[in-house]
Amino acid sequence: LGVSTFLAAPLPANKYGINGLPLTPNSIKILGRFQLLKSISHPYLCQYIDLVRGKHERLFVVCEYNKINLQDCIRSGRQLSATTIAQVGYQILQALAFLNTYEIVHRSLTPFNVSLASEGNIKLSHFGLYYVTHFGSLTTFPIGYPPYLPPEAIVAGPNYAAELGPSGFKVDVWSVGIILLEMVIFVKVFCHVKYTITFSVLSKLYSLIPKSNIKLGIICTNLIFLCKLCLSRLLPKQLLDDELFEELRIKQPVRSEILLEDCYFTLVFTCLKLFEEVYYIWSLAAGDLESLLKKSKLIKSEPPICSMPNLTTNDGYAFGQPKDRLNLHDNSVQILPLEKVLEKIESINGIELYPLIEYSHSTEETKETAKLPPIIKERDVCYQTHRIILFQRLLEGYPHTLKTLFSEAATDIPPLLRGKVWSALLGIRGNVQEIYDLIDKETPNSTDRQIEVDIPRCHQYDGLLSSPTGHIKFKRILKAWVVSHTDLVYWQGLDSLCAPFLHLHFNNEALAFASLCAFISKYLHNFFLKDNSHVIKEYLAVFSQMIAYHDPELMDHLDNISFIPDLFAIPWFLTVYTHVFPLLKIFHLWDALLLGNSSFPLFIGLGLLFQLRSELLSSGFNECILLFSDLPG
Amino acid sequence: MDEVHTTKVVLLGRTGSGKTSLIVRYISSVFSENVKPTIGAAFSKKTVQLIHGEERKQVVLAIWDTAGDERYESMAPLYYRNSSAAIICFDLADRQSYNKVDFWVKELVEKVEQNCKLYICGTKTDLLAEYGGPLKRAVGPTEVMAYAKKLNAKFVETSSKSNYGIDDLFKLVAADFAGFTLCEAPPIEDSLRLQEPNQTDVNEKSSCCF
Repeated sequence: LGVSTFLAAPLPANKYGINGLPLTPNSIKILGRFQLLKSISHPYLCQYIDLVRGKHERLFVVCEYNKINLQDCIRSGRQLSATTIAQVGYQILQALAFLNTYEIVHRSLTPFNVSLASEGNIKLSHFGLYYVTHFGSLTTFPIGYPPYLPPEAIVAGPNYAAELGPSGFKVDVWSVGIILLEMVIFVKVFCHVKYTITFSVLSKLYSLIPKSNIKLGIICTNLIFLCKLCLSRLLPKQLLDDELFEELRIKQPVRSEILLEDCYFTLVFTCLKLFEEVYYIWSLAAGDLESLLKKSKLIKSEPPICSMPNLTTNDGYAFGQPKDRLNLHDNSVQILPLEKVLEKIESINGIELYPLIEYSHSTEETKETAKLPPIIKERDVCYQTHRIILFQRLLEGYPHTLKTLFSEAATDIPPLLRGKVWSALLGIRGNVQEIYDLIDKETPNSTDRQIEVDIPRCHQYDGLLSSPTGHIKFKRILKAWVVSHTDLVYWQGLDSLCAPFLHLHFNNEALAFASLCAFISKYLHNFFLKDNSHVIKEYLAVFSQMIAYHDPELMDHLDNISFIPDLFAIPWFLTVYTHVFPLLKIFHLWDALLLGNSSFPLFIGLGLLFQLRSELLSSGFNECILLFSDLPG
Repeated sequence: MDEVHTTKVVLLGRTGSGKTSLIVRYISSVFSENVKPTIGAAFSKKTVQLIHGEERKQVVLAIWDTAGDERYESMAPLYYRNSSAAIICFDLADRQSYNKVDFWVKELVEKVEQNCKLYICGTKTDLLAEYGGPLKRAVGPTEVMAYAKKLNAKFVETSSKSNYGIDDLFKLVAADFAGFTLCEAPPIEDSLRLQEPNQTDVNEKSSCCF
């Protein structure tokens, strides 16, 4: 695993969008766009794992990383066989064709970004940079390396040019051609490119090839033919059909297992199968990306006094600072030091690493940890490792393991797997994706306006939910819900209800949607009827009865000051507390709620009153209502 | 000894017209970019000191903020019942939110709240082009003035972001309730001066004898 960093373009202060709301920081936009990359898995692509926002629009990208790359290989001067070159070319093209299905263009394809994994397979890295930065428009540095960029990309200038639009798929094919050529001839093709040169590339190629190519025999002519094809700019998919790849086509790509340099902690990797899990455990063990990069000098910090501007305008633009070299992009990658964590995991009792599903098995230590408050448990490396492995296995056995899942979830739910566990607890089954795909989420309808004004106000402290990508997904899910429930309507508050599911299933709208539907039909039956007054009245009446039964004294007092539940409890029940609490609290609350039946929200409400009982008993109406108001009082 | 009165004030208006922002600004003197939509209603209160010559009064404003979503309209009577004042908000840049004002006026007049004083509040002046904002004014002041006059209501313009006209609005509400007459010209005209709202101007204790 490795981490690299870059800066998003800062926004000038005091600028507002056309709707009068403040502009979304570029780093948040990038965070939203990044989520798609996490879901992209391919044997010839490095897996993206996480993107973390630092201070001052700095972003940290965590992704799979292999030390050896093609650039070293070419530099070492070792002659590559024609088949190897063809294989590399084929794999790159396959990876690109796969990316193109996601409409992603690599654009910074260089030998440095082609890393060599085991068994002579390649893995492309840095392929998401152009995508996440919205074709380079969200950063100040240009994306791509001039020697590998085709003429039209160079002509378009270093930054995103709106009138020309983003680069197309064919940009990468050119780069592939150059890379292959370099592998064949061992010469950097364009060492010193000036932007102004209008070069006649093909003639240059013809002049290069014969000189360096005498030894390479007949297969190589094929290769050169391919290079030429690449430079003649077909789409990656078309190139894959080239006859040169005839024999390679039979070999199916194999998903390689986690491969970590100099790592013999094989035991660990039989339990933790995903990069994501390893990274999660690492960051639990106080792994800090920023300090890691500072240590390796990839981020240099200057004392603030040295960066005082000479002149600042009212708009927040500053002048007079020397251009900060740190704003430039550095694609070097720092490897995450996993050894310590792995040692720690090694020390865990085998019973914990290979949990038995059918029998109770925990060690004393785990049982002790289980009693701690959730905040502490969630920071415990060993405990979380155990829980993740256990839940992963339970989820694999779902729905057969549902009963065990319920009893284990009663102890706690590991945050990494919360989304999946919740869906399982809600009993989601079947092909949710297909159901979701069949719903018309685009046709405008009368609810749109309300949804549009609500989304930018819903849990916006959360990076994912406040990103433009998040807003789009949010709207789609809500619209899907409205369309698929003809007897029910959108009420303000449904957005808050959707927020936790969207946050947890950001890359799986269908599952978020299915969970939302299942949740509403279980806990909020008929709450979203067009006229829900009788449903709410009944619910509140039950609530009053419950207060009276469990705490007559409190009820008597509330009754005397005419502090009726209608005045404070509607947002509690209608949104199942999502409107009242921040996301992190909701997660823990719902962890418990999802185990209970449909009347559980009432008991939570009762719990809230109990908690504030002494204050309520000693206060009059105004003070009481202020206790529950989210407005400042 | 000051006289202390308590009065109930309700805020009504279309969703997103800035009711909650108005209150947050008034109560805690901050402007938040992302206030949550209000569900059901929310409550807050603040005490206003009124000084008029020798006379001193305290008015506690118990303010109910309501949900703007049309679905919650059926619950509204629960919150506006027995209010002595209703502030009906609309977004100056959104014609539809102004159209909603009439709905609330009729609702209040019909539902026996005769003693309820009406205040029509145009919000978000900071967004209007005439104050340097990005949006065009959708509702002209003369139109609202005429409408307000017909209803015997008062009209003010405010900005929660630049803190313009908000303290004045609530002081007006409190003064009307306590039967105070403001010694200078009524702030209806006053609030309509079409100039850049000046932050310091508002924060300074005005010469007016509140």
